[in-house]
Amino acid sequence: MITLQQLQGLVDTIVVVMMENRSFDHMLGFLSHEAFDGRPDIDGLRLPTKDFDLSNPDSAGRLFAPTATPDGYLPTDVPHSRTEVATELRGGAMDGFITTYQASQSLDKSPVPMRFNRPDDIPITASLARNYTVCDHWFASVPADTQPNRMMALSGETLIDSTPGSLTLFKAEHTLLDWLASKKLDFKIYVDARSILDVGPPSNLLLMPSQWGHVLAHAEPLDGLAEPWKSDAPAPKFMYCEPFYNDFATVLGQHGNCNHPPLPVGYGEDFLRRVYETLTSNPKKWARTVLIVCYDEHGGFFDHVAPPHMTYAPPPGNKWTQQVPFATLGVRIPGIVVSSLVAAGSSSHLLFDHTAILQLVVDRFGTPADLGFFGQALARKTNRTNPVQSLGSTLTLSAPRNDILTGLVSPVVHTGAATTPPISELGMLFRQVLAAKPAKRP
Amino acid sequence: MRSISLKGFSRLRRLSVLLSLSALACCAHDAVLAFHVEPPLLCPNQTVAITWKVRGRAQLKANPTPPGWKEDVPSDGGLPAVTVGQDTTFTILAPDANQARGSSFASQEARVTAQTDNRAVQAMCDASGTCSGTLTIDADKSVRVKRMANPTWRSGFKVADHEVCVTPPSGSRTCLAPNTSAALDLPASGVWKFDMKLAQTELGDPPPELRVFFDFGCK
Repeated sequence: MITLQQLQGLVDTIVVVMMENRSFDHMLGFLSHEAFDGRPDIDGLRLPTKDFDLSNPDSAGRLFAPTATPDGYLPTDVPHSRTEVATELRGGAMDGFITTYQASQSLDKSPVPMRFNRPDDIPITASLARNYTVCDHWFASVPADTQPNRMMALSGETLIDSTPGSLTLFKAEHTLLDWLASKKLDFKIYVDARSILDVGPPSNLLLMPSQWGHVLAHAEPLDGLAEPWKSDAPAPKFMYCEPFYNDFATVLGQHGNCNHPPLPVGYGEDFLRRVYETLTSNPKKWARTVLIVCYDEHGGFFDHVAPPHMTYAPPPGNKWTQQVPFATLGVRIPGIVVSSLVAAGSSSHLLFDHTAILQLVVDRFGTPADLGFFGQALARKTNRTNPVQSLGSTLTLSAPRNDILTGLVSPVVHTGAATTPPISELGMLFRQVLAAKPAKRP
Repeated sequence: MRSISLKGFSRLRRLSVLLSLSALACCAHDAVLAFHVEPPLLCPNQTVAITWKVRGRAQLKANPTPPGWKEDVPSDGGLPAVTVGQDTTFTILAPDANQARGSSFASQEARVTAQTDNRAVQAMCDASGTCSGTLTIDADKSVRVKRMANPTWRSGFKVADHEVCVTPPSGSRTCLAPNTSAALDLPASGVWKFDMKLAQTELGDPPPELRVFFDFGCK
């Protein structure tokens, strides 16, 4: 591990890609699986033996093992609300994923939560995992769904404990963007769309009025990154690279690439490839960049590691639906640190949650006292039982590697019998409204 | 470098109206609305009843595909008696749906009884060290459990032999020692209860699974 002083001298830019709704075992379990990479250093999936079995039962007691399944659209979303995550975890038994899925809907009875991805179906993720550092003890911040976890990633606290079912604006205070702005540190939000309004709420920023000013001032289309990145102009200190979120994409009659079920992950793989290739297009800047690829939460997919205990009580001013503390972290998520400052094919078993991102940014651009700006981030770092580490602790090389992955090829998404139609009538209407001139006010 | 249009952002109010409209418009999209395959467990060459309801065009696939199977089906329909000779997965599709929205297909399986199954109960343990739970088998009335064998328990994904007691839906409680079996010949359908007693060195946290092999047969 490099020192704090080295970190501050070696890194100019931190980039965060936070995808949607996949567990560690679902995306990276193949790394340890005997049928694939068989790596002993990764706490992932294994074949069953007489005295070891990761299977989950359904309500009839039938057992379903984690199964490598070709990528494709899923029948439906996989349950992952606060209440549903609790039944999936079943007090740490980690065997309630099938029963929760089947209880959440009556149409599909296939063992969707036990699917895991073959490396050939996720060539970009697999390449990054094999050539950089895999974090196999990175847990979602709370055992709940998207918005609470994204709030924790952004500000170290969450004033909601579940994602509302309808479009709802959130209150957000002391976010990473607020801190960066207060420190006059240059940052950008790159969205994989022609405009911010085409991508919907990125990192939930559009749902938080307090963040709208940052979005207006700092959001740009992802394909606008390539030109300035290749130039000698100074790079931003911090960047979000945002996929096209599926809930919004479907309003337009399209598909997203954020990996949220029922999407296949192939579209997300292409997004990751473009981000990686853009960032590595300038080797000089890439040598001083840390790219974090992670997921907001597990999305209802099986993972075999019980989240550690860590209490998080409703903060002041909260709008939680259940005024009961979270007792554990959320389910493990895939986390990969992609940087010239990590060893190829390495792994980190340190405890991370999303506040580890805040720690890394503060380690690089702030002082230790700055961590107190962010809700629970400091408390988690100093937790006496399970201290959450800074992602800076994954950086181990005091001189950057100069190798860059080339020839990455995105997978072809097989849509099966059904197809994704071109833009819908509603999507056309949406675009017409956006294209129209604003109405004059009297 | 391109930048985000402020003009577009000022239209957030209209955007929210559109989002509300889209929520209303959701129900006009093609989707699978209902799907049932009953019973899910049956004897060889018995029949299952399949019913479905799809908004838009519908297809019904079977794997393996029975001879003469026709995939194009009415949007709202049913097949009252499909003969099943082997495990078969039925999938209903709304082929014109945007798959990214979900509910564009759904699968259910009809299993025949020519196999031994390891059946597991998600148990909870009380303060006395008794751990128990239930499973519910939905099967044709002719399906029988002929034999139970080889009880185990799993805690933290480690599986070990253990005595487990089983109370069938219609029958008395039977305790199985490790590596033993018991003949039954009872109807499979209904709620089965498993229980076990923790030894002093065994922990009920995390909650364990209790497992017993069932040999299924037919009347």
